Amino acid sequence: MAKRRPETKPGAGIYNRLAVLRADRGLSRQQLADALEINYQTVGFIERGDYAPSLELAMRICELFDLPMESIFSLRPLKPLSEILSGHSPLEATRG
Amino acid sequence: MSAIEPTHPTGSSAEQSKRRRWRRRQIIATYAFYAAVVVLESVRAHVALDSGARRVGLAVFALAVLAFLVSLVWLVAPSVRYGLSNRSHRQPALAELKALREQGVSAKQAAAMFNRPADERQRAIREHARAVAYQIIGPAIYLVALYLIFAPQFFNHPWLPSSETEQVGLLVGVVLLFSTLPAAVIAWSEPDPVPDEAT
Repeated sequence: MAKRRPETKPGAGIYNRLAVLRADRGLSRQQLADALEINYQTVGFIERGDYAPSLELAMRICELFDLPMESIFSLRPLKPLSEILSGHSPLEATRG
Repeated sequence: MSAIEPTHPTGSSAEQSKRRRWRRRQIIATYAFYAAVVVLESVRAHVALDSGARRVGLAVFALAVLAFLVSLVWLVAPSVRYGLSNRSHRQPALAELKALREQGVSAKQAAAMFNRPADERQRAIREHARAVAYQIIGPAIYLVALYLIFAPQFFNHPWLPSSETEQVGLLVGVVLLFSTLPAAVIAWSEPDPVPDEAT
């Protein structure tokens, strides 16, 4: 029997930093949703990787945060910002 | 990776969450209650019962109809929650309404602010649900139509739905499927909504 595709909806495979950026700017999901004119559930779905935004919405998100696309979205897992800022993995630091 | 930096898809849609399992049971229950109503009606039409058994049968039939109607209302509700409608409505908090009133925003303008067109995700799931439902409903309509046309001619079993009431019951089933399947597809496949956050 053919194996079912695990995920066919748009959403799987796009990695993003939306949650950490939103927290960094002190925005609630509702405030971000109002700024982007979308439902606040959509913000949550994007953050937890259940939905990948269209190119138009992704560009509006980039415009809102004033960041390039590759800083927010990626086809590969993104490094945590803390690791980028400190230059090393926090897990490595705790291991000593 | 830090827990507050969800920089990769968490895959929650792939998880069989408890709430989704419960939703799926509700969908199955809705259609099962419909089947129970049809079967009980068939029993009532074909089995001779004494007055006591008839009263019990009637009570069971009424309960099945009630359970079916309640579950039907529940089944249609996901269309509102998950965006099957063309609008995206959010119930504003009282504090939000008060703040808007203080800013001089009229009630009509406030209502428009919380009632905007469905966004791209809501439109996408709505179209996906309708496409899936269409693939199921099309063959179902043909099967019921063929059955109603040919079954009375070729099969003569007394338990087959042959009376007008039973045939109407089958047509009601098609209408039920037609009107509820998109909402059922959404409720079946959508991940759990993101919980509200304290702001």
